[in-house]
Amino acid sequence: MPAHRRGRMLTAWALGAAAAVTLAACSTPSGGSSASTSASASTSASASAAATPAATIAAATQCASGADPKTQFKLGTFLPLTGSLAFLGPAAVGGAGLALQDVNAAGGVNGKPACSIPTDSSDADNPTVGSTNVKKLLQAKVSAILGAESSSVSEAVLPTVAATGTVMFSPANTDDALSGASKWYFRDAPPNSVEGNALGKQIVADGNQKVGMLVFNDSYGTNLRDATQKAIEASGGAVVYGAKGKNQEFSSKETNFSSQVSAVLATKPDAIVIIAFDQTAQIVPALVSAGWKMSKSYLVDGNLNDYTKTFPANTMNGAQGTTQGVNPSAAFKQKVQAWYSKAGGSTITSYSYSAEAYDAVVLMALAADRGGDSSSATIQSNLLAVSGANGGTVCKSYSACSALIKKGTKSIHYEGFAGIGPLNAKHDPSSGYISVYQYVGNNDSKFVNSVRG
Amino acid sequence: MDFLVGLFTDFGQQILSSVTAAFAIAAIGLNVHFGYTGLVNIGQAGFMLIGAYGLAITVEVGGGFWLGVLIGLVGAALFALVLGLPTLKLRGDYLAIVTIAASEIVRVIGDNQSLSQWTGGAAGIAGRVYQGAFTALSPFPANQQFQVGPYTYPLTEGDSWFLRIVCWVVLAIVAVIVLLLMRSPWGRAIRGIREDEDAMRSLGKNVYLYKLQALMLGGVIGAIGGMLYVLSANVLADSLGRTTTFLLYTCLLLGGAATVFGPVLGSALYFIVIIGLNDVVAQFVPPQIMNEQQIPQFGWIVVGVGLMLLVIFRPQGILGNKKELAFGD
Amino acid sequence: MRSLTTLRRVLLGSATVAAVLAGALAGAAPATAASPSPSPSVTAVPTAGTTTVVQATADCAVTPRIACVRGALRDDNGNGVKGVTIRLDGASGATASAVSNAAGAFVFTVTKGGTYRITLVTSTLPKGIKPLAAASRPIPVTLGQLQPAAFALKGTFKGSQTTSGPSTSELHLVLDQISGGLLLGLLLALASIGLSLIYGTTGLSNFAHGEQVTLGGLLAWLFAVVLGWNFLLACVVTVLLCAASGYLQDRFIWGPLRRRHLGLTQLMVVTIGLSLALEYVFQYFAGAQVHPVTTSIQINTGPLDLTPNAYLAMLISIVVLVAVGLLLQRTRIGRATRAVSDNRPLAAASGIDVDRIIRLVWTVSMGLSGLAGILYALVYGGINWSTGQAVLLLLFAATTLGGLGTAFGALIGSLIIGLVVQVSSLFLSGDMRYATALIILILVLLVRPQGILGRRERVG
Repeated sequence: MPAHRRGRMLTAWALGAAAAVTLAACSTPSGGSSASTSASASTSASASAAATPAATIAAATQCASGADPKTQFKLGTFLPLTGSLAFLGPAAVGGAGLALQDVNAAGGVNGKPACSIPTDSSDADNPTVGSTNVKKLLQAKVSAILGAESSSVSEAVLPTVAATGTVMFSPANTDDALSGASKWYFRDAPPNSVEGNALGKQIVADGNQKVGMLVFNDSYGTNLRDATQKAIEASGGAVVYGAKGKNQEFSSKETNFSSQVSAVLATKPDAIVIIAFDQTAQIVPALVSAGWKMSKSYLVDGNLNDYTKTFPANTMNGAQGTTQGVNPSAAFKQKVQAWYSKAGGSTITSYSYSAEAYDAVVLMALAADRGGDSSSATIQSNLLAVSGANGGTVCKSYSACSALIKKGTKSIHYEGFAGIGPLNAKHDPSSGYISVYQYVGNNDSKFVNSVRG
Repeated sequence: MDFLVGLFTDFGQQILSSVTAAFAIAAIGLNVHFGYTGLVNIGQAGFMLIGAYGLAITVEVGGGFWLGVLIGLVGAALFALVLGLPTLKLRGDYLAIVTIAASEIVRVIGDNQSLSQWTGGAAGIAGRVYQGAFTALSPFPANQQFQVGPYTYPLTEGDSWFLRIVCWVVLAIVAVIVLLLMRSPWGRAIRGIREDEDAMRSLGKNVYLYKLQALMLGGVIGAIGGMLYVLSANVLADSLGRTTTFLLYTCLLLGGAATVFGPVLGSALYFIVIIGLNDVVAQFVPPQIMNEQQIPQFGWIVVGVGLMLLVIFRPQGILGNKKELAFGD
Repeated sequence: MRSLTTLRRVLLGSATVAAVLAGALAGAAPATAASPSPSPSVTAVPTAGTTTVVQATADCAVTPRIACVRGALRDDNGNGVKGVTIRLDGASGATASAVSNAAGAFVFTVTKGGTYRITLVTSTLPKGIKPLAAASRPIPVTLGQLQPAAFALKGTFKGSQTTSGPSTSELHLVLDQISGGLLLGLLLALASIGLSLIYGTTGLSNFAHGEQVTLGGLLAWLFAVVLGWNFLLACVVTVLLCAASGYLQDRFIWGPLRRRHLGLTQLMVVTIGLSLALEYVFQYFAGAQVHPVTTSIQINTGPLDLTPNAYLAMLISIVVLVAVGLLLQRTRIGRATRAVSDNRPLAAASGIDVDRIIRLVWTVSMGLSGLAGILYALVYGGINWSTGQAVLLLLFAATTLGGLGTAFGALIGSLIIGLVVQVSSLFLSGDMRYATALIILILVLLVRPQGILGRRERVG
């Protein structure tokens, strides 16, 4: 852990304690309510100011109110900053922030610096947060919205967003039901059917016939499970635990996995698929404790993380996992982390959907470039053409692609970091390539090969 | 200056939004329980969820909009009956624990995959499945935007003018009904129960029956709020859980319990505070101190602390009367 | 790992070579002889110029111009069945045969898409093994894709070892859930005794009690993992800090509020506000991910099939619970606590310093909750900002079930709830098991509202 983070953490905890005390003091009649918060804020200000030089990168891209979305590319980000998906937030915030930085370094969109309005999509438990923030973005007349990550939250706000004619581009929705949900809705994460198909075939091809599935009860979990199960069964395998209709999913709020683990092992599976997010950090120890060899386990894009710091070495050895496109390169991750640190963030632990967020922002910026203005309608009608849907010249960065557009190239194909291929008529990524990764000694994963899903 | 104009435009649109109205209605229902009768119901979100499922599932299977509304309301009334019958004779905190447990059970059943062909399981029921039945009732043309001042909304779809008008009209009707009821002998009786149960009993009133009626009435109003809320969102069990009940309490206590307009003012203010707080912090606090992710988290901390301070220092809220306090022992 | 992979490839390769050679020497399968006989080479990619479109290979990597057909044969014990011939026939007479290796695996590399027919040569199966379904079927092969081609088999071959995996009998599964239930119950008891004592002495339903559990886990993570302290030291400091938080809370929040004569409902809403604030304080400072308090993983052992840490957690819980019990039963201060819990005015009248007792109850309760949080995170692989929120209802269920305000009731209630939650997962789906605990709670209130150990007069 980097020293500066440790310092921040300490300050933070100390502050927490201080705030609690001050807060407690408020209950005596003499205490003032605002005193506690402002006091803690100022303490933290001085503490952090001493630790980091004042550089306001993030603030620089913040949209001024009243900016005209037609002439200035106003990106509204709608990402999980609080709640149960907040651990996915840093990766996407970092990806989007880095993308804006790169866009502006290359001269901005249509010659004007792009700006952003960051908001919180929260999670399903806090529905008012999402609806409030989406309306705030719509009121600000943003050029486009980047989000949400949770398919359920996207479903919740999509009627409102689509009715106003605003582009909503999700970097992480994988629910099949969202395919072609609206002409204003785009995504660069593949529908679960693609990944599930590839994963299911891989499992059976590796010689596993009885497959146990630990699935968390969420649209992502059950949807990907259904697709994987279909592929497993079509290939001659069988799902012995966690199958559709068997009602063996675990709650997304589950904190204790011992009974699920005993139950899945009791079915004597050849292989176990773990379809979950952050819960994986608790499931794997439970499996290993019960004598399961992780080499016969499969992970999915939601949990194909680097577990170097989470588990003892070799824990994950041999486990495989699938993800759409390719996992972002180490160089990309470093750039995202660098941006995020500059913006006051700490260490990013999961890079899920980081490259997708980056690519989504670049694609929307290029669409605005191609159409000549940053209105949502223009972005909507140009997005497919810059993603390579009509073929065209391949380019790999915003600067290269926007240079092509300036030269008058009509059809370009932006190939980003996520390796998603052109968007198709349903506004889903079309490449359908799924990468297979395998974990090695230090609990990080190595690319094995790419298969068509 | 631009910042302030933007902020106040935001406030205005949030106050007028259908979500504010829907939550205000649910808070009025909670007010009937908590404010007027003194029943500590910590499961109001469960009533909202039952209303929402009643509407969405009925439309989904082809029952039509009005039948859906009816089923949602009846469902909430039955739920109140089932909860109230065994617990209203016991001390107040038993009702609190039973309502929180029961609404959690409704949520878990809604999430569960075994009923997913109707409820959609944890993925919920997407808005486009049932919202068509509502937008079909709109007298306005489809696919058109309409501007009033700084606010442009679709006439019919999504969070539309139509939905906003319906929400606020329903809110007005509910508020008037509650106002009239509370001025009636029935209203005096339940307020009497809140002040002194034994005194009411000695007057020959059937306290149990009154409490049960109040629980059902408030629950049905909660269900109306739930239905209106999902008309611009989706039906998702997790979204109407414990957090939402706590939010309703915050709205109610902010505006003032045991007042007719308290819940309405409270809901509007709540959303204004949330937006204002995030915007002001984002505008004036540099990211080194509070990064993008910490700003909304900080907002929630302030809401929590604010709720504590509010209840301690001004339990009657903004509009409430200290003499008529919902907090008994 | 690079070398490991290579090693695996070499092993796989040599196995296939041996198998193919063995098949060819035996000449048992006429199909092999009839095929255009690709040299039994093990190169994964056919060299340019060969007309072979299908080949048995040692391994195969999908590229846009290559499809892989893979599968494995396993017997009922899960052991690979080796030496079995599998034939893959294409439309234009292209054909190849592969012989399964020691792991039962076979691999074909295909360079032309289309529908192929895959056949299990049943005469090459060892004695005692039969195919479960048809031994021949058409399969679609698309370049750039992996095509699984498994055959399900029935029976075992001679010398097949039963795998020494975890025992999986029904009885074992039930015992597993019971031991898990005891463990969960004991951990819940640590936290719920505090909840119950606070309720008993002050009448307050503390909705922020779950967050105290989270606080314990997160502080232990901070000390033991982030700062790298010795684990025991981290635990002790954490428990002390949590106890201090209880002391400070009563000193600065609950005590003054009692003196202001705030109603119980009012206080309850204050705890709701506190719980909300604390949840986001945790997110603000610790992030939203799951934090482990140790990065080691232990293997289940012993009669209950739990990890050594779990036994330790149970032992600690029992010792602490017994100590609290003795404290309540045998000591002056314990008797005073029970007196306050039974009847506060009477206790005050008989000279007990009620405020001092209540402050002690808060301090001990929060220390116990913190300990519960540490052990919870230790046993269940980590804790995050919402763990306490998730267990809060179980705590309420446990205390209500046992009888609100009674310490021993809380213990019994916790054990019952723990067992119900774990054991019901044998019959009910994963996310329904918490609902079971809540349904039991409601049913108990119907039948015996005062709970198992509660007294009647508390109820009405």
